[in-house]
Amino acid sequence: MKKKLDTKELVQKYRIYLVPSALLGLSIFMLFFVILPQFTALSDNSRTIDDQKRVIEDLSKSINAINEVNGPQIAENLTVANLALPTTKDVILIYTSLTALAERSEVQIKNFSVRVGNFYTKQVKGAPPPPAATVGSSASLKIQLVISAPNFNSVTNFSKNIYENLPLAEVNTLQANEKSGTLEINFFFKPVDIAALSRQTFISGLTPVEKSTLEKITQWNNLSN
Amino acid sequence: MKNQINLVTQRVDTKKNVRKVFLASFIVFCISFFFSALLLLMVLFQNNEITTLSSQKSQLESSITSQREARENAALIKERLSEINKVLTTRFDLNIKLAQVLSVLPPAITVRSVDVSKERITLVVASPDLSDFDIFLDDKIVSLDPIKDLKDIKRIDMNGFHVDRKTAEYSVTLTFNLNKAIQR
Repeated sequence: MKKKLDTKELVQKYRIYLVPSALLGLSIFMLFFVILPQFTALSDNSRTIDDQKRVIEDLSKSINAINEVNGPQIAENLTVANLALPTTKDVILIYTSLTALAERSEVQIKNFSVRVGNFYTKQVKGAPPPPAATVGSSASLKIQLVISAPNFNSVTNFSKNIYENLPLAEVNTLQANEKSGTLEINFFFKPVDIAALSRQTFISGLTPVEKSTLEKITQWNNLSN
Repeated sequence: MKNQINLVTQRVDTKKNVRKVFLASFIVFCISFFFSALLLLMVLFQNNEITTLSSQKSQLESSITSQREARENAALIKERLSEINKVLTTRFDLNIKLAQVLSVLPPAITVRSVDVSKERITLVVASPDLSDFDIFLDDKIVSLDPIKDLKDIKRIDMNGFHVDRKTAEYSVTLTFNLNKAIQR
């Protein structure tokens, strides 16, 4: 009975502190269960918003780039680009291009040979891999050409003109005298990875370097037509 | 004795203290409530923005997907141009080297034949006058700048001296060995 009275007295005595205690308790609850978790959510959301904005910006740029590249010239540009760097070993294209160039350079093609390359069997363990004629990631097809020319300059002009002709090529060796010449030429080609191209979501516009390259090869193509 | 007992003053002090505690706790609660509400609103606003951005992103993605052919064309032309640029910047141009070497020869010397590779340039040159070769060796070669003019040339060999009695010409074979650095 005495104890009961004590509790009552205690409640009576500290009754005035009940409301402040409850308010403080609620404040602490809000701090740990509302304010602090919301700070984490805010920072996570900010990161997500930044990422989304970046993706949207890239996608918008891609759409602009697609529209820019896919102008009225797209078919012509693609043709020129594929002519400059064919997707396969196109011997007919190379021969046609060389005969047209020979005509322009006033030389005659006497012999045209294609070096298809060596045959390789399954690689022996530990043996070095077969050599590949490549520049960057493009492969090349070796052509040997014998030409006859009215003079030495015609041979060297023909060799120079090969560098401003399509498909792209480099002269490996040149043997020339006053009336004829033998050239070993590498013609570049590169297959297209359609699957990789289809997977590409983000596409940037043509860079100034790419634009100038396109202009250059278009000019060379116009020269040969 | 009566003067020492002052119950009224103690009660007033306690009331003042209680009021202070109540006020402080109320202020703390208000601040917590304000910040909680503010943060919740901010998070709600951000969630709304994320939803808007997601739908915008989906629209753009579907727009790109619908332009499949155009996208592939754009990607293809970019890939081709990038590769073409690589080839253009890395391919070996022996005509430049040949022109450099031919520019060193005196005008009276004529070139009978050339054999150019990535390693060396071999010229068979001829002249009716032997002094032209002296000019080449004593003046032309000596006057060349080793850094500017001879930077690609490692060594020059002169051999196969020959006299053609029919044409009354002297001919010689000049071999310009090129530096490894310029060979790709």
